[in-house]
Amino acid sequence: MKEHVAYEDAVDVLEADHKSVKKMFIDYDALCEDAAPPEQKRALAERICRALTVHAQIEEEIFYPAVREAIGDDTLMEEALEEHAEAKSTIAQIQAMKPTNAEYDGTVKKLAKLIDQHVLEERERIFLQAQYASLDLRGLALPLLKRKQQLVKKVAPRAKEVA
Amino acid sequence: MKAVVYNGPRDIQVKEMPDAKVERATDVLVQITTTNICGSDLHMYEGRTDMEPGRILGHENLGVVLEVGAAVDRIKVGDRVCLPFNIGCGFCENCEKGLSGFCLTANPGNAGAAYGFAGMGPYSGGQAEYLRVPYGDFNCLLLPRDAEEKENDYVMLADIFPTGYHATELAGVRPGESVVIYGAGPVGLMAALSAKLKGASQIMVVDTHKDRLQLAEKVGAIAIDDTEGGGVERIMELTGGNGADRGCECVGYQCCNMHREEVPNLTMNNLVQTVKATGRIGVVGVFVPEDPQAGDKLEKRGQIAFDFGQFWFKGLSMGTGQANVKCYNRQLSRLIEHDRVKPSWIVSHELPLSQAPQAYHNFDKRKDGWTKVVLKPGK
Repeated sequence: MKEHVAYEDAVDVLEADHKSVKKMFIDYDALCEDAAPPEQKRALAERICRALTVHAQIEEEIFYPAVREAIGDDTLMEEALEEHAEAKSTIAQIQAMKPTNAEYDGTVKKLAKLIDQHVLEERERIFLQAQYASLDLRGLALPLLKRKQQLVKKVAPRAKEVA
Repeated sequence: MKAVVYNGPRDIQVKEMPDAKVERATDVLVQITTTNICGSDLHMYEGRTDMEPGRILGHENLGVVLEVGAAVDRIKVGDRVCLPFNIGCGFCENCEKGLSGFCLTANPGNAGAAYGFAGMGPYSGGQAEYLRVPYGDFNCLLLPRDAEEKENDYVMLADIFPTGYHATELAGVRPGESVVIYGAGPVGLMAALSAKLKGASQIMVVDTHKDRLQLAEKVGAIAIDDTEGGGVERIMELTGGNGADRGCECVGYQCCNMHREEVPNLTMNNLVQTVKATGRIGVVGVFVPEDPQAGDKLEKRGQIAFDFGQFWFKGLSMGTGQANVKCYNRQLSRLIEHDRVKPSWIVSHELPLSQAPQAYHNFDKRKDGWTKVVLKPGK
């Protein structure tokens, strides 16, 4: 039987990530305020980093090229890629850091700010323009999801990391 | 064009901005003649949202159509129109159901779009000479012929009158019932007016501002001054110890106690206490998913300590969210046309656009007598 895809279109697939990551960032702030143990914070920060890594990759491989072709706004798409690059380097910093590092919380919060800004621009500029363009946003949901499933497996933590 | 621009917390400026224009064939361009400052503008003004500097504020707009896009059929140049603060497309799943405040098209990824509002799409506000109205045929409410003389009444259809009415809808107010309304700001006052229209037997409005409570009395509400505390006891006394049939929250996340300190769960828990068992609460006051500037730890995370046990125990129910203005604005406009209501009774100041910065300052301070500011960009 064919698998049922509940997502209406590509925007819904990508937005689901935005919303889930946003909630994790709010939870992270709460952990900081509650002086949670470093390991608990690390586990959440790692989850955020993994989710964003997969998200950025499916956007760059599938969504952005399709949008760029449809709207022809290279400047806008380059800006988005620059924001991705900045986020990725911040993610790499977090992943290389110990959660006891004095800079750890600050770096996660910096990532939260970068993502907030990026999501806002993506919603208000890229999604809106993509919606007005002759682009098959419904069709794009399928390759995005398929690639996401592959990548999620790839970045999944090994058993010892989870424990 | 001249426009009210947000520079940063408590810093707005009237300055020259690029003219609004028709950008898409479905757009309508409106020359703004009346535009209000809303209490929700103050959340942005105070820097309590992620509003970006450089954007034009203003979501309570009325004006005359200056130009229509090629795909606009219904609305004509010269029409006097009032614009719901929510921007809907008219054809998405939510708009089809009348939930235009949660349009899925106008702000993709985030249900709901509005003019000049943080997180509600890239649309400029109408505290300016001109405003671009997307999906003009759907969004413009064509006003009755007497609109020019009654602009200060009709402009309330953009937001606060439908929002106050929505509070009573969410609460399920029916004829003969008693209603307690927290907040005598413009929305709370409109909720009081709406409860009266619906035939409520007893309308109690709670606030700490005497000037605003006086306005509530003018529409036949019982003013409950909570400055010294005791508001809850007064409501219980007036309802024979049972509480009101219905409750409306018209304050939101920045609600304050009698010492002007923010206590985000104050009004919600007071409502749980003062609405009778099996009653219903309508919440139109704004609450936000996160509020990094808040002093309260829970509020930072978009949470409140809610008396859920009492809420459950009493079998209460609740409706929340922004008003879908288009559900109500046409009917409410007829009440104005036929002189059944005069929502401009709350207007305290009518000022030219150039005086917006002082107006924001005074309204934000809740200075005595500053209830509702109406700006006139043409004057």
